Amino acid sequence: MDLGFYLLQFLTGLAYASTLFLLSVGLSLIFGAMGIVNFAHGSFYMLGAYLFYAFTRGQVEGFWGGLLSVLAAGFVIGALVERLLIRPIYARPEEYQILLTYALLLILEDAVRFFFGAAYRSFPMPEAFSSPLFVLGSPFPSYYLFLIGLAALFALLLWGFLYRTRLGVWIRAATQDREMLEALGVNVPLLYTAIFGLGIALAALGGAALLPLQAATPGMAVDAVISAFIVVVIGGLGSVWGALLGAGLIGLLQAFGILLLPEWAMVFPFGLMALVLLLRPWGLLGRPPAVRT
Amino acid sequence: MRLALLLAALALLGPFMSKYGLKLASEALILGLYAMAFNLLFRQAGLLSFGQAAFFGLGAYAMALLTQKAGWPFLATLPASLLVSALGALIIGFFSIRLTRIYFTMLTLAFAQLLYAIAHKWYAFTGGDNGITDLRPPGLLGESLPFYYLVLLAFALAVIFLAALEGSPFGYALRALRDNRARAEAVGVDGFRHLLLAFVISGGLSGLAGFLQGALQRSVFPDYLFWTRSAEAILSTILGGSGFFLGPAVGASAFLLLRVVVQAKTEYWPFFLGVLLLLMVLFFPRGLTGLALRLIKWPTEVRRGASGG
Amino acid sequence: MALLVAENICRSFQGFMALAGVSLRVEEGSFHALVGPNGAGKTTLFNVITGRLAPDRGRVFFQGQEITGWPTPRVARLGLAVSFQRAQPFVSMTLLEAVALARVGYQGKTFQLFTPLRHLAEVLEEARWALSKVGLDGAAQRRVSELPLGDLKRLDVAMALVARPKLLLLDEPLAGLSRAERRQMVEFIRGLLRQEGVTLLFTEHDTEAVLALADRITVLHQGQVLAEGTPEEIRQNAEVRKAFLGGAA
Repeated sequence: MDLGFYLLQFLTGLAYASTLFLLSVGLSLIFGAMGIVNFAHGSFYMLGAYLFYAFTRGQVEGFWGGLLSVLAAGFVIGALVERLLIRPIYARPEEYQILLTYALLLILEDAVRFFFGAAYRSFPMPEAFSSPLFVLGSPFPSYYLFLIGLAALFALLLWGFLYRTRLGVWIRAATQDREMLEALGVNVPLLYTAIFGLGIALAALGGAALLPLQAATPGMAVDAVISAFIVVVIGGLGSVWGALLGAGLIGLLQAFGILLLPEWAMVFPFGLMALVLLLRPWGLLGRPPAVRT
Repeated sequence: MRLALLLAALALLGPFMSKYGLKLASEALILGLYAMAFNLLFRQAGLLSFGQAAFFGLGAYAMALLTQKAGWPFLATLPASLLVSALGALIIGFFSIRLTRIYFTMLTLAFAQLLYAIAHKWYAFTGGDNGITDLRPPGLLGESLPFYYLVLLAFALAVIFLAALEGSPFGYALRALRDNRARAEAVGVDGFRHLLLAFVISGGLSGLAGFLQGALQRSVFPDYLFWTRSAEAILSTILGGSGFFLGPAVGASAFLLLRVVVQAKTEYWPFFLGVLLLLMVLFFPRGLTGLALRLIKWPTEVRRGASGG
Repeated sequence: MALLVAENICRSFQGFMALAGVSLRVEEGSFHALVGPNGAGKTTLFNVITGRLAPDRGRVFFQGQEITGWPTPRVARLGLAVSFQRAQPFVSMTLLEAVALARVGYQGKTFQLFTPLRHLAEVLEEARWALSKVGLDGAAQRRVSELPLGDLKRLDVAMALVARPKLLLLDEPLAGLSRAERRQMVEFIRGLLRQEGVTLLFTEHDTEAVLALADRITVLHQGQVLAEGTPEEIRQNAEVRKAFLGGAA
């Protein structure tokens, strides 16, 4: 097999990793800053795909507008969910917070089925990306490049946001020491709403961006949240860079795993996760607990 | 003991129930057993598992595969079911219990879905989506009433076992770990090993439930391993009230009743489930049992208040 | 005979050197105090000894046996009991149950699934004994969640005592106690532990208490041993005085 083939697989893996990154980084941020494990995270990813379909009515002209709309809608929906459902139970034991997001998972799954039916919803490939690029002589779907670019763009934007803006600094501070933030007079509840909205918006965007490649189904929510979990377990819960690294590793693992053992490729991410759990349980870029528990 | 009375009452009711009633009662007991296995982890150990379906399904498949493919007699597959599900719990627990409770919940969900995917794909072994059908327990057990007594017996033994566990040093150790893990370890309680054993016990009991369900339904499908099956245990427990020993069993009965009613009217049962769970979490964390107890105490409180108590 | 020996313990956290080569010898039957300002490394050293933390370098020996890096439960079952600075009890239990559980834990017998705890006569007896020694036997049937803070501390000590430990580690036993309670606790420690022949290693900020109780004092400063000796020696040590301008010395 020639180099071109391997490069193709590599880029395919990166493309897959790109959607994984958009999906997972929100989960990691939300947990890192707020301590909430959002079991409905994959559901918002799914919702993003369906909303994209709904906003554009499946018409390819709406592609760019649709993506932007989904990003905005995701933020609004996330903020509303946080404000109405999650904020009331901050004081409760974390099990109940988890159960609440689990309830959301159940609700959203059926809600989508109700509004869109159980049939697959797909989206045509935009004209701009319909012709393949040629990389070292092999044809390469240019949409993959778009995905990689999208993820890179948002990774960069996120970096700039978290490290260069005041709001971003607060968010990072929230992952380290929540009490100090309150002492400094920051409106923490509002910050939480913003963080949750941001995380959901990114997940929704990820789902929407995937639609031209893969049809949306109601069942994709659970698979998505599990993939996101695997990514953040590997990368480290609470670490944005961990999400990037984890997504990259899983993406590449899948792309090359399919070559070796196509039937069992789905087990590989679990294998990698198990390995990380054995050797470095807090994730590759996570912070080890201060005291051994 | 009140428990013995309850079990005796259930036993005596048997001959008076119709075939449908017996089926429903059996299913309620099985779900109750499954939910109590979940609650062992949730209430005693403080572990929230979203993957109990893995062991439920393992128990069911062990029975189905051994009877159908290996020709084993039905009752002989019971220890095998227990063993397989306990072993599954040992492996999954080994990875999941290593860190904080949040990881644990995530991982149980993930591993259970993995098992589902495997069962779904491995057509040659599990029959994939077609499942394994035509499983009829032989002889007397194929009849509704004797099978009901089998289920009741299993439920009784499990409940007695769990009750004994609660008052044992092991039960106290689990609660100590839940209340304050560091302090428990400082008095010599090895957190990982105790939690793992609890997980294995819970897995085994879930497998028992799966074994019985498979026999009741006369078929086993990959959906025995699907995450919504894990949700049934969780919902029954929350519905009934996790803080009470028999709460999950009470919740299971209510859950089944609800399902029968709702599924007759709509296909959006998961939506309803989700809304129910949402309401329970937000407004009724102590479940139906807690609500009932509060209602029972209410008249006495009102009376006391009126007299200036 | 040295009951506990810590050799050249080093431990850092993300670049911050909490312990930089600390050595300690606790002689059997002695009361050994570990003092120093906040951040000196006292709690970190305790955590290394008890197994909550593994040292980056160095070794720990208990009764001649190396226990470096051993997990906490294993260390506890050897007869090394700890009482924490912030008592964090088992809120779901009664006092008697909590102490009884501690006893079973130290014995390593917590894997019994079928015998009710309340039927283990020997365990309950020991638990009642420990509670009576700290003056809480009257409250044995009360829920831990109902106890006031001062009593929680005593309960915590009872949970350590019930192990009949050879070595008892007390992390700031007087923290959060009123003046009267402090005097009681000092008396208790002096009286009881001498009586039972328990070796004690404790950390404390209260200078008075330290000087009253300790046979030997180790002074930690910025992760290193500044001085070590009898209370008299420490009191007159110029370096210690310098480091604690009007503080502990």
